[in-house]
Amino acid sequence: MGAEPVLAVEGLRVTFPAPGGAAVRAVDGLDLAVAAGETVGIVGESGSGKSAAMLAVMGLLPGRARVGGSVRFRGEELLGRPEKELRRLRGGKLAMVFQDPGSSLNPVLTVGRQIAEAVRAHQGGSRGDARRRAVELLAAVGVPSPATAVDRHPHELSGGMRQRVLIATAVANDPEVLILDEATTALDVTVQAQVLELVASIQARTGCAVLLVSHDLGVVAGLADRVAVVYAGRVVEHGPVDDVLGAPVHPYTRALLDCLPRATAGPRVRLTPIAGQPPSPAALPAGCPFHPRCPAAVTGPGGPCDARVPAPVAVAPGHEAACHFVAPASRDRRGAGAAP
Amino acid sequence: MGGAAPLLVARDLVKEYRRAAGGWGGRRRTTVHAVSGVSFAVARGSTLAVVGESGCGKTTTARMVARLERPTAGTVELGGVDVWAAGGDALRALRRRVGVVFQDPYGSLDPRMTVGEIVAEPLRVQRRCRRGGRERVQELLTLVGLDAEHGARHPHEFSGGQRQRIAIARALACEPDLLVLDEPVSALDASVRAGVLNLLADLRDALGLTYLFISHDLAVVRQIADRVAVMYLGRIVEEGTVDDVYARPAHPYTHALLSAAPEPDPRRERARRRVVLEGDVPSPETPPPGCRFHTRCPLAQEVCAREVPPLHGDGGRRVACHFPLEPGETLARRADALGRAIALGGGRGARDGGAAAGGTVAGDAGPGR
Amino acid sequence: MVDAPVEVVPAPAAVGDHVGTPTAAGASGRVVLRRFLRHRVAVGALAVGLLMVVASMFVDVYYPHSYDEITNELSQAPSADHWFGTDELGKDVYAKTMRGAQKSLQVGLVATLAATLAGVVVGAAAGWYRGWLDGALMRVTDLFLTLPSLAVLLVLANRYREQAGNWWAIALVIAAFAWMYQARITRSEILTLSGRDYVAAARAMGASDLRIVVRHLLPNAIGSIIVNATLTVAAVILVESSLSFLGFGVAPPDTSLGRLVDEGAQAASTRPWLFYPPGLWLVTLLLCINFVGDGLRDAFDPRRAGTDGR
Ligand SMILES: Nc1ncnc2c1ncn2[C@@H]1O[C@H](COP(=O)(O)OP(=O)(O)OP(=O)(O)O)[C@@H](O)[C@H]1O
Ligand SMILES: Nc1ncnc2c1ncn2[C@@H]1O[C@H](COP(=O)(O)OP(=O)(O)O)[C@@H](O)[C@H]1O
Ligand code: SF4
Ligand code: SF4
Ligand SMILES: [Mg+2]
Ligand SMILES: [Mg+2]
Repeated sequence: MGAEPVLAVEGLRVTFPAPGGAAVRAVDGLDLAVAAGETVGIVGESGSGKSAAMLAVMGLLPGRARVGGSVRFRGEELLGRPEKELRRLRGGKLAMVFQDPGSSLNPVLTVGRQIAEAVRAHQGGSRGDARRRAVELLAAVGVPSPATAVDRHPHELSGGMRQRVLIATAVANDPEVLILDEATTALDVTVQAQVLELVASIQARTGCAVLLVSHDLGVVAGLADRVAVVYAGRVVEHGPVDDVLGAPVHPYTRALLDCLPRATAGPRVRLTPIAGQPPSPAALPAGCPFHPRCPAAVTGPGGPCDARVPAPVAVAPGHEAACHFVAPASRDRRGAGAAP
Repeated sequence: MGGAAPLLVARDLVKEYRRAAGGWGGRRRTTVHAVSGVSFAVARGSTLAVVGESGCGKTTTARMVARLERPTAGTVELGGVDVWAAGGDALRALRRRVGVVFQDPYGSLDPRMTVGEIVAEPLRVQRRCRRGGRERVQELLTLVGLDAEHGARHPHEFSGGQRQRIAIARALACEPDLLVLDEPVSALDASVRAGVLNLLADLRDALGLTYLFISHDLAVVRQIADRVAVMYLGRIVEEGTVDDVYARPAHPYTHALLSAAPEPDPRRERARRRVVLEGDVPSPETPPPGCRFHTRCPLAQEVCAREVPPLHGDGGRRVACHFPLEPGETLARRADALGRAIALGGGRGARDGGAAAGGTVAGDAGPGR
Repeated sequence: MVDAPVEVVPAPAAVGDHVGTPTAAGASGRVVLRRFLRHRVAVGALAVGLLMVVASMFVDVYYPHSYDEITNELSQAPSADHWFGTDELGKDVYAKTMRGAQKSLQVGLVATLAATLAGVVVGAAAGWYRGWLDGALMRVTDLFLTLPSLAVLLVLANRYREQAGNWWAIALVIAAFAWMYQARITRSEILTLSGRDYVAAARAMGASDLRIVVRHLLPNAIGSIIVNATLTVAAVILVESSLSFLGFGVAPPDTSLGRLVDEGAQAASTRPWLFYPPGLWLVTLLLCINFVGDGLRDAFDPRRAGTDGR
């Protein structure tokens, strides 16, 4: 981690009121930090709270959501700031790209207008200048013939091109933090490869911090420096990408890797599914949220898994896992993982 | 394709959708070339996967096989019977021999019916199924790994994976020979997907089923299928056994597709250099002439834009390319030999400088094996 | 792996795992009832409306006077004996109002039943078969919609005066001009629903058209059909009242709310009890039915209401 983080999230909680009084705990104490020039991958299954966390960082959650914890950008707390100040940050220093390239763009405006508006909202300047900048940006994200593309409407562009336009809008004001929430999930693999390539080159050029949210471990493996594995609204394991995906210690990370079929590498073996279903955030299990599905869980009298929430334990420098049975680094049992 | 007579044979399937395009010029009619001459055969007890990117015609092909969409041209034969020529009792018998599973586990089950009614519906509709009634429903639910008592509940009480199991139970109700599976696990989470894939493999082996398995996920295909047909813009560009095609892709598109499939192994991902294709898939309303891939192909020659490469080959391997790759040859090397620049992407290792950044060829890991 | 960036809906836990929210089509009866009960105005309207129905249906049980009984208390103001007073012939206005309400409801229900049946059949056929049948049926529907229905009804009522006294003949004539919205609504529902995969699944197993429409499509369209039918009841009662008001509805000695309003209109200033009770009764009944219809609509499709009942 070394460098001072640009964005630091600590103990983030997002709760939605649900009919019948019960609360939906979408994010339940999530910690995360990303430094300039660094890419942090956030992986987890659908419903694990990745998007809710990112929206909380951006201050984009609907009003009825309750947010707790801390989100610091360059050391300054963002939670609880007035909307006006947040608006100045959003699209400026903090930018986000969503999954659905269709609904994130306004269908009645040309893409040039939409990029130009993003530019002028933060940098001012004349319409002409903003338009020239839009052409530049479209060229930078690899949209062919940008001079004519600025005058197109979103529906005239393919999904991959729309995603490039969204990325162009997001990087228009040289953000320091770029959040990509499943930005390539709706795209085909060959187009996904193009877009990931683009993100990497933008980051190499601008040195921004990237938060890459995906349910696809493969996408994260290629691009991220560090990975955070999210389960039931919490980070259960995080660390350098090689450690977390190469030598995982948390039972969930291991199980997740075991149940993935591989496209090219390794022998074809029978997959090991994880028992049961991801928990409903409206009824999270007590103790370790993974215990109902965990092959290594020790529950019942004396067993800690259904009684206490495991705290993160450092298994190696910068590599932490939240499991009662992970051996701490001092004993140097890195990679030994869940004991029982 | 040798061996015994295949269970399912599709010959030159074509599907074109005509639609009136709006615009100022009044009524202009355009034609969507969804499927343009697709042929394949599936041996009894085996699985043929059809892969390709969205819009390439996978679903349309599956729907023509399942007799849900009438082909514009071409035939589908199941056990020697022409599916689209059958009527009356023969059609009834055909319906019984084919089960269908759809992608969206939320849309494929009638929300107003109980699970028991859903699974029993084929039995009711067919009337002539060998067995019927309550016991059969319980048996089917148990077969797909659900609780036999779940029959009284409604679909919205189940998760995506469980619903897909219900859909599989329904497809199996009349003891079919063939299951047409259209992206059956694409909507499922990784941890649940593995279970459904295992179930499908077990059912196939236990019941001697034949699968036509549609997917866009190369990893899933490798897990479940014996053979794979790669589609691009309405045509099959390459077909063969999964092991063979994945290890030695001969069509440039297959090569690019395999090299773009992400793997959850960071060191491999960084070392690997993927072929990043230029541009987008052209619209199926105006497919390019000749080889449909020529607008994006790094190997395209003049002849490619003129002549449609036929899908031919032997030894169970068919390729539709004028200049197929030799076994072991990579796309990058061939492009290099042609003096073409090829957009290669790679992990951070490749970008951050270091050894790999030197030449185009060095460090080209290809799609791996 | 469907991922909606902002519109994530909370999932009610049912069997211990998280599952989708029942959608409009998927809402089970219990869910609909619960959402309806949250709608205070609609619940109140339902209570008042039911009370009014019971009051009119069972008037003989609890009220000493009958609508055709001629007393010798002429043109009396309301009193404990004659709750709404009497008319110039000495008939009890409350009894007449209840009798009128009965007839209006009967006409409303029968006409709605007929219109709903016709509309659903036309709409389902058009939406399921599409093509030329759809074109033809929709053209007929549009034709009926553009006809000035009240004028046509007047002509018909005038022409068949003898039968016109017959309340169910009136109901059927009104129904002939009340099925079009139901047909359109059913058609559009069927059009969207027939794209669902469960319909494809039913086709793949060889289910007949009739089975698919009756077992899969109509049950999933039932919400819109019921809502529209409820609103049709109110519309039909209003049309019948207009006809009666113009002198072409239910024939004397029988009566309906419209006819009572018509008869009371001339005396509205001198003997207001002849005019206001049946008039207010009619307005209240129509309001109640409409509120219930709105409540049902929100209950069947909370997204269209936009508020999720809170
Ligand atoms: N506006 C909201 N109202 C109620 N519940 C919500 C809302 N937004 C999110 N949730 C709930 O919070 C949980 C986490 O949602 P979120 O979308 O952040 O997960 P995710 O990891 O991004 O999953 P996916 O990949 O499916 O988007 C989900 O169970 C969701 O139902
Ligand atoms: N009913 C239809 N009308 C018009 N075009 C269609 C229809 N169904 C499919 N298509 C078009 O046919 C092409 C192939 O579709 P499909 O078979 O669904 O592809 P896939 O399953 O590979 O995503 C697409 O371009 C799609 O838009
Ligand atoms: S704490 Fe217990 S249940 Fe949780 S991951 Fe570790 S072993 Fe499994
Ligand atoms: S035929 Fe030509 S354009 Fe098509 S794939 Fe082969 S080399 Fe490329
Ligand atoms: Mg998400
Ligand atoms: Mg498809």
